[in-house]
Amino acid sequence: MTRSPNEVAILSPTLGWGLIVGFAILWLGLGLWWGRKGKSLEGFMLANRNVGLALGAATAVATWITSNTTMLAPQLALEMGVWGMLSYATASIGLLMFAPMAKRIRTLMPRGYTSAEFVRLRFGKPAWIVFLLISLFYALTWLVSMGMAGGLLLEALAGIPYRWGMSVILAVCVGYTVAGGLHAVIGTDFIQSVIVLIGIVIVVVAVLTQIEPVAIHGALVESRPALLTVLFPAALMSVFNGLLFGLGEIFHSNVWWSRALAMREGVGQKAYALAGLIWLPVPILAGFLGLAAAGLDVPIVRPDMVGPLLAAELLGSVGAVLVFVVVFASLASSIDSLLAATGDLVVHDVLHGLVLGDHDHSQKSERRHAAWTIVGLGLLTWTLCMFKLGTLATVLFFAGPLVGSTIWPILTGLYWRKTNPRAAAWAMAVGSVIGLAAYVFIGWYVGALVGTVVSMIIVLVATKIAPADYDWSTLAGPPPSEVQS
Amino acid sequence: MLQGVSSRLRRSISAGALNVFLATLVLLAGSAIATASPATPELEGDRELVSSNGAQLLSWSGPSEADATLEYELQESTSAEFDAPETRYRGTLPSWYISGRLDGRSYFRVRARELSDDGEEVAGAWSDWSEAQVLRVEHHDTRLAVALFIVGALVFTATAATAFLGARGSSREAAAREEAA
Repeated sequence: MTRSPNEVAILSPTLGWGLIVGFAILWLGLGLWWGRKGKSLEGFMLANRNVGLALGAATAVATWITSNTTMLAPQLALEMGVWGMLSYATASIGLLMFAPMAKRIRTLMPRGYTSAEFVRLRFGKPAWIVFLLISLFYALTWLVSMGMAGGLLLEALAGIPYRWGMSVILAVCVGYTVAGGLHAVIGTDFIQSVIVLIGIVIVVVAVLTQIEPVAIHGALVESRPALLTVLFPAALMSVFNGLLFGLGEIFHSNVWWSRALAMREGVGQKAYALAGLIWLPVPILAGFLGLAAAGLDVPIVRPDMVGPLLAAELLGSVGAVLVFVVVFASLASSIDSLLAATGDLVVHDVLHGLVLGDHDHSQKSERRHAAWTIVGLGLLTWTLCMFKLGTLATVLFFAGPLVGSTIWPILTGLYWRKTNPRAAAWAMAVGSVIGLAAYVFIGWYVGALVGTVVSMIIVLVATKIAPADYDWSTLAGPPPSEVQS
Repeated sequence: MLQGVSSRLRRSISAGALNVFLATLVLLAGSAIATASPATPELEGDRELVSSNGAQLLSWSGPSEADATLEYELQESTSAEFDAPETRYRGTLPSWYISGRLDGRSYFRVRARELSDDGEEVAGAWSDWSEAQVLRVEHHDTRLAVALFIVGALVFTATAATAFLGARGSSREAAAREEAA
């Protein structure tokens, strides 16, 4: 009888289910409670544009601490060594650089709803469609990678079958996001960020008391020397690739734009800067678990499970419960944000912008469609998660070239009047294609870099040759459902 | 006298039967021991694996007809003949993750044996070793990696500078507007 690679359960299924039910009741109850404030479209999608500094910073931290941070950071450290750990930590630079952009977005688009709406008003319909394709694809890969992470986690730690665990996590997140909209998402994010930060610190401190860092270093030198090598080729290539991937994710994704638009005036810049500083040490702490596992030669059956498995192996059932709670909270905090922000994109830009056009403009119908869209997104994610598509890294990094290609169009679109709008569309399309080719023929660790470089060159050259003269006041206009392009 | 012959004959027949019985037992026991040794597991994937980052997940499949839990032993050697092999993994899971390897070739093979229900060893034998699998680690060219590192640094610097200058410019614009108002 051959065991499944995922059969390394530390918690009993009963305890696992107990934790799931407890959290499900908590999140759903809070969702319903906060849902009272989300009756209107603005309330549901943008929390009435009244989010303050504490909630704003906490939701940014919680959303950015995804299951990928707690599970992929150890994997990167295990695979790329110290460079891999530092590479993941550079994703905090994305939050720091987005801080002034959040202020700019709020100023330019006081009545705006989505990032795609900005692209449509700033660059026109061709760029809008390319951007929507990229953004929706990215959101789906992120959602799928987290749905998979949830299923894998429950299977690994509690022996709950992958499909059951993944289904329950998605159902709970869809439930409270539909019930409470962005109010519920941001409110639960606050609680989840506190749980995750405290949990990670406890796990790392507890692991440190059980191991000798010097012995781990010695073991790494002996058995996995490349992890400590400065000139580790794949790791060197991945450093700026990871950084640019993070920038692309934050600059383009409606997850971050919707929060910038939801925060009170004057809050966005401070909230994102604070979030970047709080987030910075998290992947370093999580990545340390990967290096420790490599040094201790813990049997690793799936590289993306190395962090949870090490904590469970060294700390027993207490460690397993802690890891379970941390990863469950980080999963929920990101899945809910993505469901809400992607739902906004689908309803506001695809359904009411492209499909319905002039036929149905009422905010009431858009509010109703938003709720149903979140349910539909949850179902689509669930369907894709039923097929385990590679490891978390391969699923997520496939979107790297695409999001990298959006950095320069978004950045120059926000700050430069002269950015050529047609170049923006071409930059995203060509950057994505060539970046994907690099992903396939060289490796995942160069996809985002190549996508960004190609996109940057196209934007710069075309803007130099044929500069535009954009009127910023266009962005302050009514939403696209009221004025069709 | 006839009685004596008859008695010796009976003893002789009894001794012969006993010998046959014992021989049968030995054969049956041998057969039982033979069934305690499971079929040879197989390392999955190509015979030669190539890694450009020094990492590779090795996995193997045990015989599907086995009833008991299987314990595996994974060995590694730098030679195809497995001179001076080292045991890398011994346990019940069918995979092992390698990372941090420098350029070079390593040979791996795996074997299995059955464990009893409570996880204790049965006196059964190990299976034969599987066919060897080769892992060839060939890292990317360091010059290419350093070049991409420098390109990444330049692109990031350009991006950060654009963001910084843009933010500063928009702040100045806002201040000028406020002043004018």
